[in-house]
Amino acid sequence: MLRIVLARSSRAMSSASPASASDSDTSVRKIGKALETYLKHSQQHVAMMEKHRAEFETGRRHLAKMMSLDIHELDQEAIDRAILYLFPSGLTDPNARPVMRPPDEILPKFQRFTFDEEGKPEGSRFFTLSPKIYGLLSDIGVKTHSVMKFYDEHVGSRSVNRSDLEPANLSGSQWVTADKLKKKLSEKFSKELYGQVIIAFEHLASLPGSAIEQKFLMEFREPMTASTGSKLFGPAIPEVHVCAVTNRRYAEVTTRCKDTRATVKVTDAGKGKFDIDGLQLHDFRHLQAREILLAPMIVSQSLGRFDVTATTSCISNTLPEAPNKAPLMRSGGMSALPRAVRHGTALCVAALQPEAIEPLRLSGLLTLDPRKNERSKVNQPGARAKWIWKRR
Amino acid sequence: MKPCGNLMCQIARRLPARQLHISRRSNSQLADVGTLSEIEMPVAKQLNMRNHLPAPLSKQMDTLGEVVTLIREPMAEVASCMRVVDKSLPALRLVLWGAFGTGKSVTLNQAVHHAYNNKWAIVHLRSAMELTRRVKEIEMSSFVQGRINDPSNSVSILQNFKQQNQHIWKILGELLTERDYEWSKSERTLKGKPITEIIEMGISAPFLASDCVGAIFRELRRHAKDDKLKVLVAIDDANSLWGKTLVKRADRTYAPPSDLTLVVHYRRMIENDWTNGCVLMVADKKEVADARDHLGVSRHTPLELFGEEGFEYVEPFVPIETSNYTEAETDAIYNYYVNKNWLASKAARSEEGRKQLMHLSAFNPYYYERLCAFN
Repeated sequence: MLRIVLARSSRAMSSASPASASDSDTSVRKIGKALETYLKHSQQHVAMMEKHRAEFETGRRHLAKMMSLDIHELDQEAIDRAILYLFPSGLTDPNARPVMRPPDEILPKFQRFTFDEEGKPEGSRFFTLSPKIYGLLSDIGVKTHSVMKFYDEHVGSRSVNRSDLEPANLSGSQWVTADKLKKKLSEKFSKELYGQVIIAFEHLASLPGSAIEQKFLMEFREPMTASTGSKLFGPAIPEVHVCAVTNRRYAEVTTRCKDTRATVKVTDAGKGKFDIDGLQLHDFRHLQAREILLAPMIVSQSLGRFDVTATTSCISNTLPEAPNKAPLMRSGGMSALPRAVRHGTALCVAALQPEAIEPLRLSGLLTLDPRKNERSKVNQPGARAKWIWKRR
Repeated sequence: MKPCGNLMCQIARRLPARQLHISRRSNSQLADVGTLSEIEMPVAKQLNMRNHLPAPLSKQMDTLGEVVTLIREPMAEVASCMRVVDKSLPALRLVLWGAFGTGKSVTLNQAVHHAYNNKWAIVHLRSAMELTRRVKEIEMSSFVQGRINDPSNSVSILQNFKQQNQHIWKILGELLTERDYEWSKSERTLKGKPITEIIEMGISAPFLASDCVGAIFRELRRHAKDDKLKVLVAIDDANSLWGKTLVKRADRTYAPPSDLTLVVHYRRMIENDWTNGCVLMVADKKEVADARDHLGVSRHTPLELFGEEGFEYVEPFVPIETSNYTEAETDAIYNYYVNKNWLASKAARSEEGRKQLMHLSAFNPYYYERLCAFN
């Protein structure tokens, strides 16, 4: 009976007309109602997407005209640049800034059920209401069995690698969180179900011979370094390299402060020399600047050990500007430029001298300073300043 | 008892390292490079060091009650150049150049002290910029049409000359003028009079002082040529002699430096058509650099500072570059300051403090002194 109703409803879906279930009993009518809603939502979604796609296309044409570009030249990158220029936003969170992207990318997705020719839902787990998570559990079960079988067959034999008979190597990683798993499977599930999945995973990973399923396990794990890296706000501590010519260790990082971008390279086993755009330390006339530049070395007690080479540039020079406007020729001044270099130096010193990470972090030298010059407002002399009010 | 004895032993062993070797020899020899040398207070007073040293050092001289400076490589070079000065050689021209605060003026003052020790005549100008930019009153010259006299600066130059040359005042008194000088209708100096009379004349009559400066310079050159004495001409900021002036003429335009009598006299002194003398000049950035520009770094090489005209005038010369301290030099100064209790705080007297002072000052002598004055 149920099968008939489903078959009929699937046919109805293809003809895009609501299913009639007048001559069915109550339980069947209930299911018919659910399907009816599903079909209605599906049609609405298709119509909405169609409308948004058309709107996006029109918007793209208008934008191309505004930016005096050919429509073919206006790819997604060009759109992003145009939006950044037309709607400058001072909001710090990138998600809060205006965007223009294809509706398929940003609008919420509609979950469709798949049906076979007879109108049956594909896969018997359809009726569990969360087919994917149960599918995963079942996969884990099957793999657990196969691992145990593999181990029993090959233990003591020389036909396989010895490393294959060991538990999977999962060091330096952790299981994905519930939220990420939900996103990965694009399905909602309860906390308890997530717990069961993790228990099943742990059991599989603990088995000898689970190394053959290493690849499968790693799909559901994320590196732990991502979490330690996220402790720092701004660029992470760079990697240490060894110069092939001089055989000295060095680290390099790019960072910024206000409008100044600095690429800093710190070399170990040096004399404490500075080279900032060709300037040496004594060319910085103000004690403030020299103090800022030397702060990482003072904190890590390594004065005279590292050589610092830095090049700086102005960030707003590289941003898209109105075509008739000359590029701004600003660069960091008495404190912003040294601060940009200081952040880079501190990160490199932390890389070259790991025991200094904690004192550097505690003194706040590893944290990016995100503050920026507030933009001036239209019809005002500055960011906050107003013209003097005058009685007419 | 035993540990105490040990401690004493250790202190005794450590003390010599801390002890300072300040050379106090006042003979004609220069102290070794890298050592501290003292200029005795009476000598410093006679040489008017309070005025001639850079302001922070002259203040420090008041505070510590002594003038102790470090003998560095440029000073040794100057001394070796002064040693070869001879009757047969044209006046030797040396140009001290280097970044801000690296010791150009201090080397100049050390050279003046060295000349004093060797009984040379000293013509020392605190800053050539004073002749071009700090002119209080002007007078038109009666000697040459269009020249501008500067009575107040002229008098101070003569007074300074008199004060700095007290050690050879007797010898100067024995040197006689070459010809009659008619200063004005009533005042004149006859041929065969001691040249010190010219100086007295200039000091007592400011309106004649500018011409007197020229005359005394002329006589000095002549007597140096005759090997009666050796002359050191030490001019700080010498490139200002070819710089910009703030002297206005009657038509409200700025007079070029070549119109100023004193500038002409000093330029004449720099020319190497005389012998048995040494001209020590400092090329300083303050003539061309913008004092309001806190960030820009302009060049400080002699060609940039003297300009085309000035450079052609002073060529050929021996360039002597002053540079930042080495670590050993900062240590010498650091030990002196610690010994004098000028570095008083505990942090500054620690090993970490020593390093921080060194690096925060970027090994620049001026910055080092400034930092030490506040720690």
